[in-house]
Amino acid sequence: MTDTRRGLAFVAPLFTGVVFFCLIPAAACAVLSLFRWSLTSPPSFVGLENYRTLLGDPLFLQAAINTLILSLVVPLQVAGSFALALFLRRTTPWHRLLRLVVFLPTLVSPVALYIMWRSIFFADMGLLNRLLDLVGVAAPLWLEDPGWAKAAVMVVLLWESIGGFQMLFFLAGLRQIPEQLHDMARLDGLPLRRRIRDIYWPWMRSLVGFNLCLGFIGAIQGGFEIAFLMTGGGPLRSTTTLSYLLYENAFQWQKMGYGAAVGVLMFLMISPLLALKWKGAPRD
Amino acid sequence: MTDGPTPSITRRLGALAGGLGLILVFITPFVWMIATSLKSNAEMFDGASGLGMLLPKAWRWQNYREIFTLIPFGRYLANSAFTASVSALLETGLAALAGFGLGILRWKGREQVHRLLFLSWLIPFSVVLIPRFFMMLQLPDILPGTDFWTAHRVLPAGSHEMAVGRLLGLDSFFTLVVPASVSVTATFLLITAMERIPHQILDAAYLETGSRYRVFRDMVLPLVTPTLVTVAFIAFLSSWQSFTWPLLVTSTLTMQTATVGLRAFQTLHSTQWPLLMAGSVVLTLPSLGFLLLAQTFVIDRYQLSELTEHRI
Amino acid sequence: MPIKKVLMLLCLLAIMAGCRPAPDGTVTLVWATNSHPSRIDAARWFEKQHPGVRVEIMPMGDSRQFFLKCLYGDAPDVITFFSADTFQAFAENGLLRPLSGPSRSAWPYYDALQDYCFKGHTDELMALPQVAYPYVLYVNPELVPQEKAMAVQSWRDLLGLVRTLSPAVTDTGKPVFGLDIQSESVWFTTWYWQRGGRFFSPEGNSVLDRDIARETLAAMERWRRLPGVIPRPSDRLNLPSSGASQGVLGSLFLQGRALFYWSGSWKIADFEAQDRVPWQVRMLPTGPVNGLTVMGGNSFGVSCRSTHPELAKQFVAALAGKAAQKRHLAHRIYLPARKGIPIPQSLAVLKEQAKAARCPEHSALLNEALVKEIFKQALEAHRLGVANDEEAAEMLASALEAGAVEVPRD
Repeated sequence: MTDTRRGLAFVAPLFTGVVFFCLIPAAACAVLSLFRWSLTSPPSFVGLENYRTLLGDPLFLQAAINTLILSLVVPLQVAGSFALALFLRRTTPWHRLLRLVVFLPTLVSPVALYIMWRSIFFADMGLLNRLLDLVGVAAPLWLEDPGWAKAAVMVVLLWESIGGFQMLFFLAGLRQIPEQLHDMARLDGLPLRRRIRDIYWPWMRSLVGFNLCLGFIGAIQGGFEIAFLMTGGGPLRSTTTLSYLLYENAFQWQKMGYGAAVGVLMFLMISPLLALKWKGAPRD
Repeated sequence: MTDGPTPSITRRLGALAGGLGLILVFITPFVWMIATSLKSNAEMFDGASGLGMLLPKAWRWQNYREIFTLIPFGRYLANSAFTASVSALLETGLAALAGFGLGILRWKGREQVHRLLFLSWLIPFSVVLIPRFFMMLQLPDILPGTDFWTAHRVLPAGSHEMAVGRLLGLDSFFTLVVPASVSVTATFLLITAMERIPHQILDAAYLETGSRYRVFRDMVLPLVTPTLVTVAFIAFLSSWQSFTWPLLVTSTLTMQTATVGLRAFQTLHSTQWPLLMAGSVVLTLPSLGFLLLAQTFVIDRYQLSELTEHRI
Repeated sequence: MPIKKVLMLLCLLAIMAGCRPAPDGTVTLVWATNSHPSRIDAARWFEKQHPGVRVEIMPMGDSRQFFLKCLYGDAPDVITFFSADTFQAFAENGLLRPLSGPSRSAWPYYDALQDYCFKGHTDELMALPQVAYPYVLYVNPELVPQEKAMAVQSWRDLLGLVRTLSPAVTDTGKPVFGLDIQSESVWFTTWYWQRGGRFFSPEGNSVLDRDIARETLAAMERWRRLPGVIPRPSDRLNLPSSGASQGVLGSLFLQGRALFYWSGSWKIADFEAQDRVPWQVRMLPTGPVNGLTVMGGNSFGVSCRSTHPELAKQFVAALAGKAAQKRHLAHRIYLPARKGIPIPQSLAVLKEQAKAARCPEHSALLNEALVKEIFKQALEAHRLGVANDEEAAEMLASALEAGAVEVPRD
């Protein structure tokens, strides 16, 4: 069944979509970043000026640092998903229930989640501080405190993804390990750590690596919704992520070229990770 | 299937405690959300401590009625549902077709197209966001007959009319659905799934029917149904939950989706938290329903073998 | 299977393509505004007066995003402006049609509202006002003796009075604060003006006086340091209000936990609707140089892309006319923009305050969302102690001059 025309016909709809919605916009973004355009006046070519300003802009640097710090949640998340997958891999009803419970945050719309967590983090009346009050712990101001706002955001990011699709990946990966290996190891009395190192890790290593890679890409690129809905960029811009900065520049302050430059720089930041992903490309 | 030797009591207790801990950590915020949604405004900030936090004094069920009367939340939900379903169907369809073309058919130029698709897979969302927005904005202006595309449309429904937005441009279902339905991930998933089908079967079928399309429809699709369902589920979920794109491209009361519409409670009546929570609860229910439907396909029988091969 | 689905999709699209555009019999005016009952009332009132006209309300989200949408042809017929700088942004970018109405010299509305209606410093009228929202001082007469409250002239007097009355606690043992201030940027703006400072020149350049800014910030810091006078943000709760107000931070006053509350007159609707806490209004105190205060308001403009410009202009004129203003009063929204409309005697002081008030300054050269963000960052840094008076003033000045948000340098 070889026929160029037929093959193309099947691929054409998706491919046209990809060209129009991914490739052309990407090129357009790179071009836009070379202009200064505020929508109400015609665009003016400024070359690499936007980039020069951007790299010296303390707001950009702070957003970059914030994003990188927030992406530190990724290893925690991968480790957590792995641990949960390990913990919940049986098919007993109890385990099925638990798997459903930890999958809940993935199902619930992030918008609803962030709004919910914002009310939990209220300084006086939020659930968290009231609980801490009961126990007698002096609670920080969470979302009103520049130091703690990032921690709050990381908690939410961790909570919402730890039992999600990543855990399912690991679950299925673990299921491929023959059950006898499990039992033999436990019968032999191997402690958990050695079991992980000798049995699980070799099977899961590439899976973990891939998820880490994907996770970092997602963390650097994302974070817009949580910044927009939960913290508004954070007290003193402590939770402004790069994607939030892009939105602000392009859609609020109407600095289109500047916003596009932020986007291009974000792409450059994740390109080493993308190169890794390329290396892990599907075998043909 | 045995689960191995009976674990000791301490291990069992430990596992039980761990499980309860998980339930506590994951369920409590939802209980809080539901409890808040049933409180009255004043009660929310009353400062009750202990279990009183989680139990409203007077169960204000009319909050759930109010969210539908104060803003057209029902319409928002319908918009979300429509967008998500159409998006899921479109995405699955496009990916299946392309998957067949790339995974099973062999033709000149296949490698290049595959590589190009992979390249576009690497392009992050933040880079395409701004140009996509302008592209969809300007589309009606580029095409002939701008007014035709940008007129607000209504659909007669019984005695009144239902506004259905424009055909193209801002506030149109086209803009909400189509850009997000182009998914290379789904395509790759399906390619991997389809590649596992033995060639001989397909060649035989082709010789019999003489039509590639029929091979696609009658042989390949049934064989990859679990993956199709997975792809559709993920597509539905991600469209249901999407926020940034609807935020940018919808503005009228009738065209917003539920995720964006929920924010109306923050600006309209100065953050009515109980109503906001009630809206969030209602927003969750369809996803839960969809999950229970897809539970057998997704969580327990997650067909990962295709995925792991593809990743590794 | 997917082919069937794709076919279904195409059918759906075909149905949609077949639907008719909105029927031609009635003329629809699209009005971008918030969805307050008073708006709906006004819309119905106009519809009754003009049969064959339908007024459809379009919600306004983020104002800059709305600007974006208006720029690209999505514009409604009539636009409501909630702040003068948004109006100026629209006017200066050619998004509004000129209206015919009173000139600056024969202005029947409060003078400050000219900023909401005339483009820049020209005489081009591009919107007509509906309400004026002067900032006033609410007093709790139960906690503050009447004569003493009325005797306060300057801020120093106020501080002295507050200190004699505190520390106070409510019967539930919660602390009572001296002065609750709704908006930090209004606080800064008012005290800065009252020390003789200005923000922008008529051309739009920043003329922020660093010394006056520093003094203002220092004064704010002094007040903050005094215990029990100014509440922290975390001392405040968010009780809702069902009136026209947005973002209620006045709940401390409504809980009887503040002696004075500095906020705008749009809260009066809420205050009147509750009976837990008694209240009165009085003029804001004066500062060292003058007694200028901030004022907000609403105005309506006709967008240049309106398909029914004459009708839209009629609508706007009707909304700004005497009859509509009186109707608006029925919703307890104070204060009507026309100077002549009578209001209850107990609120007569609002008129005095409105005459002495000014709208926040704007610049034609800077994006107003950016300016708001600049102020927010500088004031927040100052409040949190990350920047001292000198540094915060410098942050503000250089940010305004450069037209870019600054963050506190470590």
